[in-house]
Amino acid sequence: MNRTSKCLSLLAAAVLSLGSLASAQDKQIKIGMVAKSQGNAVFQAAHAGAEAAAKELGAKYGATITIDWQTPPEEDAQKQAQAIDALAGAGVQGLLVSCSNAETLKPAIDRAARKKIPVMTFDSDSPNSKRFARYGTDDEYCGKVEMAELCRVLGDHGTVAILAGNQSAPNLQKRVAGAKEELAKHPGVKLLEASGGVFYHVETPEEAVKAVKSAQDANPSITGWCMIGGWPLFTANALPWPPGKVKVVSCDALPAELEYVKDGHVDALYAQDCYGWGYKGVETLLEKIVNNKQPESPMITDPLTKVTKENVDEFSKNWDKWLKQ
Amino acid sequence: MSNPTLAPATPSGFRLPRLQELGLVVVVLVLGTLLTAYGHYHPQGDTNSFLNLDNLIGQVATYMAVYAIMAVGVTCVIITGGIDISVGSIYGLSAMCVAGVLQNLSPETPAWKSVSLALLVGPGVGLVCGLINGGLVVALRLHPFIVTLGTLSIYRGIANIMTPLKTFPGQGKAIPDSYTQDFFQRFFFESAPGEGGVQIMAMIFMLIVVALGWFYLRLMVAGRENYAIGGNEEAARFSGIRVNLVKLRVYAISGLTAGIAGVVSVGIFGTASSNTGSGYELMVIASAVVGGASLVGGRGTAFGALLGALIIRLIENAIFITHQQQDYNQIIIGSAIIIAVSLDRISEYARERRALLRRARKIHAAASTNPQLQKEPA
Repeated sequence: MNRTSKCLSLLAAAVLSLGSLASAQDKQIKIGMVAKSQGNAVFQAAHAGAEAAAKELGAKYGATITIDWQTPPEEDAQKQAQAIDALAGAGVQGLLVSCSNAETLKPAIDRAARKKIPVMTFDSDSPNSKRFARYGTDDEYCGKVEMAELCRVLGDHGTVAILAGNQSAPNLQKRVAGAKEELAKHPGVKLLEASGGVFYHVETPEEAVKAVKSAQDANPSITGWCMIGGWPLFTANALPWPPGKVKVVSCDALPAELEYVKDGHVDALYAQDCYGWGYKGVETLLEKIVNNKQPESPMITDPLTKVTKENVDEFSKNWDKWLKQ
Repeated sequence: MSNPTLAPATPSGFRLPRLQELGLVVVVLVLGTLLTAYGHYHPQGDTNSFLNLDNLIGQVATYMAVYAIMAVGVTCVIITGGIDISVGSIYGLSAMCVAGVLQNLSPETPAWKSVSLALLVGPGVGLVCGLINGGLVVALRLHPFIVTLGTLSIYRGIANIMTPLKTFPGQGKAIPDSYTQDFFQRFFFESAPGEGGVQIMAMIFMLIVVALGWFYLRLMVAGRENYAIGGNEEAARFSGIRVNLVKLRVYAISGLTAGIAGVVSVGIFGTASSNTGSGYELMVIASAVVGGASLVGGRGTAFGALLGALIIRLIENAIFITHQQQDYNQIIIGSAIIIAVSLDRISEYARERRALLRRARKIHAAASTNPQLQKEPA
């Protein structure tokens, strides 16, 4: 091989490799994302996580990744089903869904799976559908850690009540069961006898505030609240007692809730990985789409981050990032 | 209030659709052409992203079915000058009852049995709700808006207390596959077993209801009576029409169609919850109004209701196809309603002007040929 032909070969190889690089970069992966509602900050964070993953993981998977966010303005499972069908029809390569109603979304998820589109759920699952994985909280564990923390801050002594939201929601029932199971391990802490110690309410911040205030007024012996959802803390001045008088541990760590930690009304919050729902969800989907790789377990558990007065300022910076995108 | 007469009740002679429906057809064609062009330049693989069976039937026709079915019933009410804002709640309650009954059937129940039972329960519940609405409007002489505002809340409340889980089927129960997967969710025109295909049953139900509505409103005396009442209730009463009976009938029909929509909904989604259909009354009334029904009565057709629902669904579909966020959905649909009603008012005004001009020309012509009329009194 003479020098000229060597040079030509090298040039051809360079052009080919550049071409293959360009084609890799030209590869487009579109992921459809359907959360429960747009107004909820946790889903805005999940969206931000998905967008960040799309930006950051593009190079790793040699593709331009875009997120098609089709979330109804308010919770409506039928609108979600329409969105899933529309996205599947529009040719997305993967779907990331948080289900307002598991059974209502099952047919739409199954139709997408029939089109060979991998579907992953986050937060709220549709366990009977053909989704290949789910990332979300282990509800029983969530109830357990919250109650364990409440017992710890109470010094294993006192009377507690559980704020439980909608009585019929299966995930909340599991959290209540987990909290009660943990409480049984702490003989010095009693569950309030009135109303069985568990207060249900319509899942709006206003109704939750009413439930807490009514229960506390009627039962001044309550020294601790285990809130398995952070509903009342989405409003201001929801806890009408001086900071520290009644101990409170709650789920979620939305911006409004963090203020209660800062002023000492709430001892600890357990934050769900809402940013990670989007980020990890996209990452898991990309592994499935590009490498046809299943996660080790179809149920990926959210680690829950504990937020206290010590790390609340650091944690609140996350929201600046999550809600900015 | 264009046509209070009963004249076209006989089926003699086919007439072209009214100008207004032609206008709606033109709007549908323009929207379809624009979306086809967009779909051509933004294809999915080698398929037009709008003009394909999966989109047209699976996305557009299937999901507009419940709106269009209810819009036919509500159009009947609106033609008489009434309004029914409880349709979303009747739809939800019917769906809950259908799902509640079907969940107790054996999983091996054949389709003919499960579908027949659903068609008995859903429309039955809807009919009872509609009769209650109509009965209250007629007996208490209350404004239908007030009556149906009250029943909207009552029917939704009943759906809420039906089960503590707020959703059917309950835990450990299921609606038989013969009703969902083998009937409403059955795939037709599959490219290979288990691949491709579209689900057409919701669309078929919609077309049947629209055809029945068209037959009732256009070819039956009972249907024409609605226009007479909407045109001029007193005149209709003096001409011997039993106004109260007609009003009772239209609210019953509205409830009935909401019940049928509930049957279809359970078929499509395989479930019903206490908030099923919440807020749908606005979409249904919007479909009827965009489809040409006049809120002051006397005007509206079943075909128009179908076209109204189709236009709204095409707009929703366009938002998906062009990858716009759903935030814009409500703004665009709200604007479409205002534009449609404004255009309707403008065309009505133009029609009246033309009729006046024609009449003036006739009088002028008659005057110019009749010397007696030319003599102006002093």
